[in-house]
Amino acid sequence: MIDMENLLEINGLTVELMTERGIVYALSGVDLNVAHGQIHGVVGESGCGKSMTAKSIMRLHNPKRSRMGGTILFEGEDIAAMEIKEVERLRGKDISMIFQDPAMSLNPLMSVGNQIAEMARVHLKSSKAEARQIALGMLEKVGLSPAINRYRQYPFELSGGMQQRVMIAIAIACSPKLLIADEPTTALDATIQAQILELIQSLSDEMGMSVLFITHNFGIVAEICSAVSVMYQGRVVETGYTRSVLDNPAHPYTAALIASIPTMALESQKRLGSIPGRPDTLYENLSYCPFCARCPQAFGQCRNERPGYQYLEDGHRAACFGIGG
Amino acid sequence: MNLSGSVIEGTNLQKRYHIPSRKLAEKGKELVAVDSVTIKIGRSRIFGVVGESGCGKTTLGRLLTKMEPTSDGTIVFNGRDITRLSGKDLIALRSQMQMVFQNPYGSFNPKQRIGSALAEVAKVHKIPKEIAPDKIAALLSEVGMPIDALGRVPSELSGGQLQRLAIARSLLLGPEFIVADEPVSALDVSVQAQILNLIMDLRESHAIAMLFISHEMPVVKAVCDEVAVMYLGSFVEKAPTQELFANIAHPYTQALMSAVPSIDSDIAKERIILEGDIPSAIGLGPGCPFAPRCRHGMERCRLEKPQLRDMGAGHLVACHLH
Ligand SMILES: Nc1ncnc2c1ncn2[C@@H]1O[C@H](COP(=O)(O)OP(=O)(O)O)[C@@H](O)[C@H]1O
Ligand SMILES: Nc1ncnc2c1ncn2[C@@H]1O[C@H](COP(=O)(O)OP(=O)(O)O)[C@@H](O)[C@H]1O
Ligand code: SF4
Ligand SMILES: [Mg+2]
Ligand SMILES: [Mg+2]
Repeated sequence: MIDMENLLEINGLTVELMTERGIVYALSGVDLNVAHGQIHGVVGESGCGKSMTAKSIMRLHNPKRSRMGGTILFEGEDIAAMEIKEVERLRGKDISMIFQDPAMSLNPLMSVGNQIAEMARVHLKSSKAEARQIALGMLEKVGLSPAINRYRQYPFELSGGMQQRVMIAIAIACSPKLLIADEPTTALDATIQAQILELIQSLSDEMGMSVLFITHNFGIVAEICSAVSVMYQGRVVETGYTRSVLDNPAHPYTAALIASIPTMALESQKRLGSIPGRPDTLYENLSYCPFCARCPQAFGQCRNERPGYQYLEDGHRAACFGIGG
Repeated sequence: MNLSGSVIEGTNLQKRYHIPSRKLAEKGKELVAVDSVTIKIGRSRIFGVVGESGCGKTTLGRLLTKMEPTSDGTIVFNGRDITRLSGKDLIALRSQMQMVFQNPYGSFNPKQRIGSALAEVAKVHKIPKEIAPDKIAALLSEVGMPIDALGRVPSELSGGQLQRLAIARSLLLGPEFIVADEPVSALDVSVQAQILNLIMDLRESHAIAMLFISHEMPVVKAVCDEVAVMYLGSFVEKAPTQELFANIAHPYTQALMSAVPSIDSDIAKERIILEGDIPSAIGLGPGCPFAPRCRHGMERCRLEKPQLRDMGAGHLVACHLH
């Protein structure tokens, strides 16, 4: 992955949260690149920092209760260093975001068509009539047809799957360069999830839009992401092209996670691989490998130093001392 | 113990709900949550029910455990008809049937220490004081929890730890039948694997019959001996696990399979994307419940509901194609 190819380059991103119990080191040096037009998966167990990373890109943290470090280059400009006014210009226009629960983000009192149109009014300064046309086009594009009828509906009249389509329509109304999707299908049934995944993939293809796709499901990564970053305790521990990471996981954590997935290829009633223990909330900045307590391969160095990246082929890299040794 | 060896047997179970609907189109109609389901689970067997939300999985579990009265059909537990059981007899039965739920935080009192919650169950069901603590300790070690977990309250435990404790509690009274309703759906994949492994172990050591409910095909495949696929209240396909996944026959099962995002690169799979939403079980027509979404839908499918037919090897399918 050469620099020129990247729409988004996150380097050494740290987020510290001030909580009642002390400082939580939520992100401790996230490195992550998203190429133009790429669907890039971010996977990891709950609490590993996926949403934190997404919120950092949108600068959604409360500055009074958090501290952010590192750089977030979007088209070469550092979002982390921007005035909040500048960031607001990017939000919804160049970068937009969808979440797990569309009902929480939709306005219950406004027709879905008007909610889409409003994006065009605010960010593209469209006239009322233009905005309406854009909204109708978007409804059609996300498969809510006939658009003219859907335009007038309110969120409560729509199923969860259709609400997520509306969220997507709002998110893409201004043709963003980057869509951040934070577990957008986690609450949906399998057959509806398949529809939404297909929609996001075809929109990305059609519009050349990059997608940062956050999920805890490796299967989804395999289906729609060309590259993937695996997070563990506030850090990307492995990244690379999806097939490369899935077929030859280099980090013991990635390998263990993959082994614990029940897959259709697996024989019935065989024991699944599992990882003993669980990650703890980080109240200190670790000076050793965050996975060492659970790692079957851990050795002396792992407990004394923080591993840097080891590079494999094709941009595939992993933060583990055991690689190549 | 009865001769056929099955612990629980439901025959032609039906559950209808009257809906006080404001929508005119639905007025006076019934919601059929479970429709003519026949199910039999033997000792040390795990029977999986898989299907999308609203298809009737939880209702089926509640019918079998007598948490909810049936509208039709019979339930036999250890050779005894319990369909109309009530009052004291029903309470006595509770200790032999247990449920484990998706959200373990919801099934424990947030203020009560785990030890006191378990002791309470033992006391209510008259496990003698002298043996209760030993029994609890043994179960804790069996589910892989340290004894000091007894001193904790739920908020001090992770979802996976609490689910282990919920399982321990369900085993305390030595039940013969357990309904596990989406027991791993809320857990992270590495924790999910631990709990699934635990369930497979316990099935052997406690000789339990289990109804295992899930909306995820691979999870059901991983632990169950037999699987039924449910759609709008009906079993549309049912077979021993190996047989089912070797010869998937029903168009809905095929679509559900195809919708499972898979990490396997070598499985060249056919992509079947179902259109539209999951329909509701209100006022279903006379035909196949899946007909409106089925890519094979024929004239006959809209007129006549296909019945489960045995295709051999214990593989039952309800579809006019077969
Ligand atoms: N309000 C909060 N108070 C304290 N810690 C928090 C809070 N929100 C998030 N964190 C910390 O940030 C970490 C990352 O959280 P998050 O990004 O939401 O994880 P993910 O999206 O991967 O599940 C958590 O492990 C937790 O330690
Ligand atoms: N007490 C009830 N009153 C009316 N309808 C109900 C009731 N309980 C469940 N239902 C309906 O029955 C159907 C099956 O529900 P449920 O068994 O919870 O499905 P699942 O567990 O498969 O998601 C759904 O359409 C649901 O809305
Ligand atoms: S009976 Fe007809 S509509 Fe129903 S699943 Fe079979 S082919 Fe499809
Ligand atoms: Mg999250
Ligand atoms: Mg349910």
